[in-house]
Amino acid sequence: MFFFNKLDKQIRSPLYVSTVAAGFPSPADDYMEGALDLNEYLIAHPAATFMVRVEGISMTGAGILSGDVLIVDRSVESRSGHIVIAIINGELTVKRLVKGDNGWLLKAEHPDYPPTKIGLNSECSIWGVVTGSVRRFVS
Amino acid sequence: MQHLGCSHRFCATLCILSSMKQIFALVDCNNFFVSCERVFNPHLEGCPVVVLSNNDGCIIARSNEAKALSIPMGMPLFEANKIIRHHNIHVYSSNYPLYGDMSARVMNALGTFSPHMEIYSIDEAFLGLAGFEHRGLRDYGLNIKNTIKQWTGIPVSIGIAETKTLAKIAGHIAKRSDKANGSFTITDESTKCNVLDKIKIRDIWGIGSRWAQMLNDQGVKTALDFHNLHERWVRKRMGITGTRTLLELRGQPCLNLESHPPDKKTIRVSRSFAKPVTNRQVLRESVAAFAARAAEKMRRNGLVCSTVNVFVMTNQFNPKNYYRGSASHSPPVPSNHTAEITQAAMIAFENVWTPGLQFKSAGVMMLGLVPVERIQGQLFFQPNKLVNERKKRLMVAFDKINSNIGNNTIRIASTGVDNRAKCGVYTLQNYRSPRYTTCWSELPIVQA
Repeated sequence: MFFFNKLDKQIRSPLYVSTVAAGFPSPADDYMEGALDLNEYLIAHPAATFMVRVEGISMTGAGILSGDVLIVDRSVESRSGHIVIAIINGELTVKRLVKGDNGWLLKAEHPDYPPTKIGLNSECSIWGVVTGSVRRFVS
Repeated sequence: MQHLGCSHRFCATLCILSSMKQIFALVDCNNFFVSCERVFNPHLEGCPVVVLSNNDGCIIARSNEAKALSIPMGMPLFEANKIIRHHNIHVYSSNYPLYGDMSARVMNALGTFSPHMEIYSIDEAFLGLAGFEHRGLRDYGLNIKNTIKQWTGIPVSIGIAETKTLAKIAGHIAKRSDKANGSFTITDESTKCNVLDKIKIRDIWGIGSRWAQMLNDQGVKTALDFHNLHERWVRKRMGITGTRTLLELRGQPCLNLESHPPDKKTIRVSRSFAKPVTNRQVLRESVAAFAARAAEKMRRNGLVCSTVNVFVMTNQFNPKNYYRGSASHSPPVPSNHTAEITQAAMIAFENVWTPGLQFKSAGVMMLGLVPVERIQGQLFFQPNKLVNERKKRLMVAFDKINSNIGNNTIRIASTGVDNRAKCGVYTLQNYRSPRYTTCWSELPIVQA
C-alpha cells in the first residue's frame, strides 16, 4: 500500500515526567497521552487537502486576512454558507458561497466588494471548500 | 477452467491465477503533467499546453489541444518554437516536485477503492476489482474517475477487464471515446471482438515495435488478428512473452498485480547540460556528482553495486560528430559508499574523456545491484566488521545531514565547489511553475 509521505505524522513517544532510577514515579505517568498534532487537527483528507495563500482584503469580515494560509479540502461537498475557493475567469478566488432567492452567489465579506452571481457569468466553478486557516504572528 | 491445451512451463502459475475470476482496472491519468499544471492554473483549461523534459530539451507532455495541432511527442523545443509562437501554446518546464506530490495524492485516493493495487508508473495504476462486480463495474469505474477528479483535480480514464492486457486496451478506448466518458469495460466476448478489431497491433501492451513490424509483415494488422492466431505459431516466433500476451487477450490472466515493486535492476543518474561542456574539470566534477547521487539512491534502497559505468555523449542531433563514450570500473567489493563509488567512477571517467569534444550529456549507471545483506566475502577482502561498521555510520550521518539541512550540504571534494555553476551547465528550467504543494513560499495564490 502507498503512504502519503509528506503528511505522514511523525510518531513520538511521550517523554516520561519522571526518571527511571530512583524515587517515586510521577503520578502523571499513567495519564500520558500522545503529543498534539496540527495535521491531525486541521486535515481530515490528506490526499484531497491543499494549502493556498490569500492575497487581498475582500474576506476580512470572515476573519481572513491578506497573507493567511487557507486549508482547502476538495473532498468536501460545498454547501450554502461554506467559504470556498472558486474559479472566476480562470483565477482562484476565495469567497463565501450563498444560496440566495435568485440562485447561487459568491459573496465577499467586505462592504466595498459586490457579490458575484454564479450562472450569469458562466466561467465559474468551485475548486474546493476552505476548512480552516493558519496565521503566524511571529516567524 | 479450460485451458487451450497448454503444456509449458508457466501453465502451473496460469492455473492458479485463473482458478478464480479476476477483474483488473487500469487507471491512467490523462496528460498527467499538463493536468497537474492546470489544477493550479485553471485559465489553462481549453488552451494548448506542453511540458518540457529536464533541461527544457524537448516536449514530453501535451494537452489534447496541443496534440490536435499535431505536435509530436519528443519534439525538440528549438524545432517547436515557431509553432508555439504561432498558436500561443503555453510552455512549462517539468516540475517534478509538483508531479510527484500530485501522483502520491492520486495513488492514495485510488487506494480507498480497492485493497489490491499496483502502482505501475507516476501516472498509472492497476486495481484488483474482483468481488466488486455487484456494484456494476462501469459505474464503479465512473465513481473512481469522478472522485479522483474532485479530490485532486486530475482527470483519469479507467479500463476494466479480466486481464491486465485487456484492461490496458479498455483504458485506451476510455480515453478516446466520448461515449465511454472515461470508463470502459470489456467483460463480454462480443464487446471484446469489436474493440480488438479497432486496435492496431502496435497499440497492444507488451508488443514492441520489432514484433509489431514482424506481425504486420505477416498480415497481422489488428489486435483481433493477433487474438485469432494459433498459439503454437505465436509461441514459436514470439516465445513465452508473446504467448502470454496472446492468452491475456483471450481473457486468461497471466500477469498478476505486483504490489511490491521488484528490486531495482539498475540505478542511473544522468543529465543533459544546458550548454555544451568542453572543460575536463567541469565534466569530471559533474560525473562525480552523479556518482555521489547514485550512491545515495543505492543506500536509500538498501542496495550495493558491483560495477560503476560512466558514459558521456555529444549532441545526438549532430550525427556527423556524434560521440558516445562508456567505461566501467568495479570497486574491490560491492559497495554503496559515496567515496568508493565516486572513486570507481573517476577511474572509469579517465577512459571516456576525450579532449576537443563538446559534451552534451553525461551519466553514471550502477550495475550488478544486490541487496546489502547479500554481499559475498572475497578471498583477499574479508569484510572487516569494524571498518565496515564505521563506513556505514559515516554514510548514515552523511545522508542525515543532507536530508535535514539540504541536498549537497556535505559532499565529496571531487564533485567540485562551484565550477559548474560558473559555466552555466546547471539544469535549465526557464518555464517552471511554482512548487505549489511542497514549498511554503510557493503556495498557490487566491484572490480575496
